Amino acid sequence: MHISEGVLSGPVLLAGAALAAAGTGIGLKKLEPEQIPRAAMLAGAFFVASLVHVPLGPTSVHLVLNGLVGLLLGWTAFPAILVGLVLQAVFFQFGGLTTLGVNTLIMALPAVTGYGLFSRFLQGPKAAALAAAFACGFLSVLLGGVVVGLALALSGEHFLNVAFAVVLAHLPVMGIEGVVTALCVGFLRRVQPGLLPGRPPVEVR
Amino acid sequence: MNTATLLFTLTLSLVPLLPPGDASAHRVNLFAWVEGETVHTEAKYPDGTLVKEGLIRVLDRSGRELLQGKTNDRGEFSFPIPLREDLTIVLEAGMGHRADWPLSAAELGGGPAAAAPSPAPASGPAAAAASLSPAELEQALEKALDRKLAPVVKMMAELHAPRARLSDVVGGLGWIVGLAGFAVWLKSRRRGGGPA
Repeated sequence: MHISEGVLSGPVLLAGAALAAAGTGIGLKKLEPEQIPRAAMLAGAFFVASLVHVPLGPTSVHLVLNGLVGLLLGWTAFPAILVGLVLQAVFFQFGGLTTLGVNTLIMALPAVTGYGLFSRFLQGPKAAALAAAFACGFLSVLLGGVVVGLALALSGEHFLNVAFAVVLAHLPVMGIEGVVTALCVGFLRRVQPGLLPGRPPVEVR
Repeated sequence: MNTATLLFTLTLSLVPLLPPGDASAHRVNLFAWVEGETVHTEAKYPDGTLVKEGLIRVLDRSGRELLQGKTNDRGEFSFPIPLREDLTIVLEAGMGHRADWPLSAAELGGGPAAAAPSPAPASGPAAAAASLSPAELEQALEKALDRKLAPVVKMMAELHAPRARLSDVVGGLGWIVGLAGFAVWLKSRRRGGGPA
């Protein structure tokens, strides 16, 4: 999902950085002190997820987990993902400095969208919650691919071709992300439902 | 908003730590080494997973593609030396994973001196070791050295390629914990010092 350096044009990079900064600002403003441990935990999960390679047919893909981060954090997904990306860039040389803003946008924008669309189902019946979690994980990667295509298109490449290629390449990841997100939500419903949105997080430690 | 600005600044203060110019899309590691008349390549992801069916392309100095192939189940692809000049081996493992590895003419046994190595006579060097001409001796030595050194070269290549280490992961998580602590401290201060 990361766009490498030297691919995008200057204005796109700047716009990406500006939007990511705005999103991060909103996320931090909405961040309640009680939520900070949760945000940190998910930033950590996001940071490590990129190392979890799933061997899949000819290639091997790694998790993104932006759907899960968005579902549990809402707007706070922006700062969490930004921190995760910075650390990935520092420690693993994933992505790069100039593309930090765009990459944050690629992963955090779908995360927030997924939160808006699906978080309301999480406290409902189990089947609906799991389906919503799957859809959120699936769509977050899909939308990420669309943002990648958009960023590349604004830098001069043909949007449909690029977006199609990116989305096609990520189809397996979408399925895996959906399953992982659903598993996590199912687990949290059993052991710590207060972590899920839709209920006041009173007992969160 | 003051908190937000501070946190953002703190995050950005990590930026000088970024390794300059070594930030590729996704990380995938490619090693290539020469053994006799064959070039071996091996492709791995940073966690050590082998790249299966990764596309290997061999380019000459001008970027022209000389040959291509796919890595096998052990992440390896071997091919005979196509040209004794500086080559670039490119690995495309899909999903934006890409790596390249330069092979210099010297490594390939190129250069003016060894431009035309004639194959060893069919009788084999073992038959008459004493009667080897200096050129043949040199060739036999080079072959033996290639064979003996191949594991060492491979090992060095693996050392050279940065892998995600446990210490990096733990360090990153430590940063996150620290940032969270910092954020909690800031928020609690703004609330007038009361416990969060």
